[in-house]
Amino acid sequence: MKQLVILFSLMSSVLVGYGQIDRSEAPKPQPNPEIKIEMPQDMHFENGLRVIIVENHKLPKVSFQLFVDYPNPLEGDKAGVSSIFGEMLGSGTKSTPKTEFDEQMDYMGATFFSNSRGFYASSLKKHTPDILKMLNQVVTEPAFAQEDFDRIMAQNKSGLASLASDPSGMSSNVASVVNFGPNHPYGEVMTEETLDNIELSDVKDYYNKNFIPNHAYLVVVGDVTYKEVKEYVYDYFVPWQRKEDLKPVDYATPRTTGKQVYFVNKPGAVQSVIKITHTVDLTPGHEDEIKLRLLNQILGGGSFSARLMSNLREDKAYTYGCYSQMSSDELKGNFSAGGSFRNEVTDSAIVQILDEIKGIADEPVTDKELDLVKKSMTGAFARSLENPQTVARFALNMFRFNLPADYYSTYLTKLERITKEDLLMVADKYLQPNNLNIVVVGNEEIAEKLNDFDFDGKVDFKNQYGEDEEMLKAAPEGVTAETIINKYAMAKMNAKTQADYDDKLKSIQQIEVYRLAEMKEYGVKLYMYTAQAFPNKSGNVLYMTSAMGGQVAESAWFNGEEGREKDARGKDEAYAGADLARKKLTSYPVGQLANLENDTVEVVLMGIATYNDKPHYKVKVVEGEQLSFEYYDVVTSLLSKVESIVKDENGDPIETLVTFADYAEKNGVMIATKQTINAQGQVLEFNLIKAETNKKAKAKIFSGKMKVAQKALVALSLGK
Amino acid sequence: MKLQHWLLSAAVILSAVGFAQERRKIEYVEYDLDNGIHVILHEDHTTPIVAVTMMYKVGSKNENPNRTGFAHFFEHLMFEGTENIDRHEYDKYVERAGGTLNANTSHDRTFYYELLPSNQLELGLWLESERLLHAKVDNVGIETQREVVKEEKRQRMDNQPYGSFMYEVFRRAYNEHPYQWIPIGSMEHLDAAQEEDYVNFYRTFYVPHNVTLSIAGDIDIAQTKKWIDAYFASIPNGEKLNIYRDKEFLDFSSFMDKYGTYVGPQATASEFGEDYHGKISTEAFIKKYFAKASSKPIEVPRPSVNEGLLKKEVRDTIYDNIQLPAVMMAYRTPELMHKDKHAVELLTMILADGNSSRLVKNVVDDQQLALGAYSFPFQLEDPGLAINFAIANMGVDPGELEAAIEKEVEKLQAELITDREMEKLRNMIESRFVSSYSTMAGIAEALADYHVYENDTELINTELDKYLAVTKEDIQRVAKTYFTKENRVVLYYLPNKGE
Repeated sequence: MKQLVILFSLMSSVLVGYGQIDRSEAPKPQPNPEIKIEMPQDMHFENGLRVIIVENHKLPKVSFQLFVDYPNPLEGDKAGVSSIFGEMLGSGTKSTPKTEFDEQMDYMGATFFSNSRGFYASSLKKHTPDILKMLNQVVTEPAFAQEDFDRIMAQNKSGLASLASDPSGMSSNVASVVNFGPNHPYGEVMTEETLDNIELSDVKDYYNKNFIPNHAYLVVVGDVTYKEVKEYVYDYFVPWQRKEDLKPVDYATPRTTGKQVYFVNKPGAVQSVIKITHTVDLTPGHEDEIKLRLLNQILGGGSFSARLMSNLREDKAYTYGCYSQMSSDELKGNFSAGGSFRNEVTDSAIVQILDEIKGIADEPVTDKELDLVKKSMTGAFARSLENPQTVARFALNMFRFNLPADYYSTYLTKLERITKEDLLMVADKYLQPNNLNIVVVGNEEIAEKLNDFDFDGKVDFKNQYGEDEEMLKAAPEGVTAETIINKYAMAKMNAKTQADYDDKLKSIQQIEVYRLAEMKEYGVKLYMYTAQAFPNKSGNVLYMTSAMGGQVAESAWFNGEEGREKDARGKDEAYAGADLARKKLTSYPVGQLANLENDTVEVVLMGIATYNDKPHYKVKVVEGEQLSFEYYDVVTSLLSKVESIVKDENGDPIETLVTFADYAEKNGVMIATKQTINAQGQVLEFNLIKAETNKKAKAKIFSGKMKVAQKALVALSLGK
Repeated sequence: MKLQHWLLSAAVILSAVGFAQERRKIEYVEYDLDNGIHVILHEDHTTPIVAVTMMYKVGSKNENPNRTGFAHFFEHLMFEGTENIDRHEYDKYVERAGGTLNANTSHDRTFYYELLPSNQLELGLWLESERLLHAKVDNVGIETQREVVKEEKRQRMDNQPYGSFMYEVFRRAYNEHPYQWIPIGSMEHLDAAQEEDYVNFYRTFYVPHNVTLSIAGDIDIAQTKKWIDAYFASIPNGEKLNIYRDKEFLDFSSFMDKYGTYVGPQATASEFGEDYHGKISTEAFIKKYFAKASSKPIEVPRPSVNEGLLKKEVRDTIYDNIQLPAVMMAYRTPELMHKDKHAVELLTMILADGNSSRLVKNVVDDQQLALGAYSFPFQLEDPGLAINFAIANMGVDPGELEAAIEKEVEKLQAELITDREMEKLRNMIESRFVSSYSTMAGIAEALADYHVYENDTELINTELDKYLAVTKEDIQRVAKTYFTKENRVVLYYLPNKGE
């Protein structure tokens, strides 16, 4: 092990005397302390595994980090398989199922987590042999159990469903897609479609192909000796079988010409998330990397004195925070700058950020900026060395990227030598102030103001996955929100003509529907009963069963004059005021009819959108603070989707998405056999059990008598 | 500014340091300066850095009931500058030195720290001595920080799901004791307060005998002591300190109104005026004209209320901007110095620390009633709370969740935990002790904690033994003594209605 010693090269310093102190001046620093970095060497094993040991005997602790440096594969129509694999890797092994695995880790007081590249595990030294047994199992015989796969898939599904309310997630998806393009691993985004394509066997294949020792590094940090580690590795990691080497692939990325604006609509948003970005050809350890890191600190580092922060927050108060990043990467690095901004200042903020990028690329930085950033980076570097994991990270980078042995020990010297001219040179070489992508996630009302920034004069609309979002087409002459809703009512009654519809309204005055949603991950079943009758009677019961038995979660009824609502939290209220007035409007056979009668509701046809590959009329419904969009199939006239946004008391939007699919004729009316409700990312999928119709409105529930409906639901839940 | 943090987390109060197996003793030197400042020094040359920390024994419990939020507000104000440090410059000194700084406030104390390259130790001492001697407590800083604190409250409490739970729990768990309000306090109180209220607060609590200076890192003890003498021992106390601060903050005529008689005939001489206006330093001025003023520390007021166990269960429902209901049970537990402290903490760990803990394994994983379950001791200088907290899964009735948690608590009262569980707890606590000893900042804070709360700095080396001495029977006993229905507050958090 060689030891390198370098000088803390802050500045030449002066020794000051003490005794009588002068409080009015800050004291001068003492001579710079020495910084010692002991760079470890690696050990090579016959199965190709490389092991890095950072001995640190201060604490009786040992940590193991496994990093499998396989080349990034394209995941294609199964995008997301790597992250599912990473989660599966931490969910038990063949010999030690998940519950037992968790218990044993806890018993040792250990820390453990996994990802697609390996794991991190840490414990007291005395538990090392026990934890190694478990880690050996993780590597050589992960459980890959179906039930864990189902649980993880369900969690990821919920995660995707909540993406629509996560502007930073959407922004980063779009930036990846536009920066790297579809033929690059970094441009691949997991969508509902690609997630659905992933099967347990794909996870196993991924493991078999990529998770191999001949691409792996094991980093051991802590109270261990070289000899001990060697024995550990022979016992626990050498049995891990070597496989065929994987070859790195070169992937092309698109070129950005001019400034390109991409917009993701987030209905009801009060802030815009702005990300201004482009790729850079910067590999780890390149001589320009430190210079660019310094440049980035001045432009948009974490300090309040960084240019973006001082201009956009301290000076203009557009935001709570505005930052920039510059990252190097073996395949392709990238630069980005941005933050969250109030709607009104979105365009002004873009102007300012672009100005700052151009400014730092055109003009040298000041001596004061350079000096401050050098000092704070020097200090941060020194402080980071307190954590032994820092040195481990340095070592791993050194071996992965073939950096010179003195790369980190000469880091501060290199930092100190950087001049203003160097910064101007790298800014010119790497920043592209005129060729970049501007990604904005926000309220569609502001999209139009952004056309001016775009090279082609037109903003491109994207969805949350970075896919192209088509623009609304104009609806034909004569079609209005009113004609659409009336046609929907007719379609619901399966009527071709107005006369037909009038007859149907006489012959079928009541519809009762039973649906079931299962939440497998919680062991919960939800049975939903809804009844509606001419002209405005309604009733519903939500019955839930779990391991703890069954209970009514919600119920409501309305008899045309009065009614009440009950929920699981103990709310039990009669309809009154505006709620009562609304209930009294026509709601049979479709509730949307009431909106046409209600003066306080604004219903507007926006145009034709595509949903599920089919043209749909998009209708906007506004009632006070509540906003929703309804999508009606142009061909069948039936309702396919409702997106609604309600503001809570803090003014934050709460989003709900309801979809209706696979309509079928049931006892004379059209019923959606599949209905999903997605409330803030919680998704319930209801399947139709049965739908019944009746000539008269006779269901007991309309008068508040719940028993019949409840009994029916209980019977269904018991499989009768 | 994101520099100051108000602590929601119980973890900081728990931070403790020590060893079991292969234990290494943490060496330190401690002593008092004449003015009452307690000093603790720990030397470690592994990395060339140093943590300079100041723990003031003032928290929200020292506040006047109609001026809540003062202690935390002061933490913000203390970054606004001093007699010798211009506004907004305090943190820049640290940034230019390559260091970092922060602070936080709890019910019991306020903690400031700088983490610096070790050649900048003297800078840290200067900065902290400035803060203690003559911080700027004026309307400009008060106005700015009022807005910042309001944003902080919005972000941490109002805009965070379940963010108000500490506030809701503590206000119901105490009737007399000032723990009934939390450090963030009341914005109305902060608005209503006048400059004078703030000045008085500073003079009452920011005094030498109410602070512990704890330093850990790459230091030379002898040299450090010399600097501490220069920067801190020279700070007066008692009446002298008040005069010192008045001399720098009052205009001449106000000063004369207050002290004219005291100084006597000399006060009318032109020399006095010149000296006052800066011909000589404040130190020299005090020495020359106020040599006889008392240096005797003025006693710091402390609350004397002691609320024992609760007599009757308190139950309530809070409606908040959340998606899923939550249930919390807060039990009154004894003060930090009490012998049951360690057993109570292990009891909360058996309940909810790790995937194999009782609540996580049974209520979260097996019964799938909760998204997550937590149990943590809020051990304070005076009797505190242990809180069980669980967020219900969608569609789960909070009553059902409460019953399931209650069942686990009853099991712990009725049956001893298993030997393997006992061993697990010991392994976990040992691992935690070892890990918290890994940074200089952690050591400096733990040393100060043990001195300030328990007046026994050596606990840094011995407290782990107290945890390891806890038996299965102790855990059952504290479960029976404290986790009773009469001795608790039960809160349900339920979602607001859509509109």
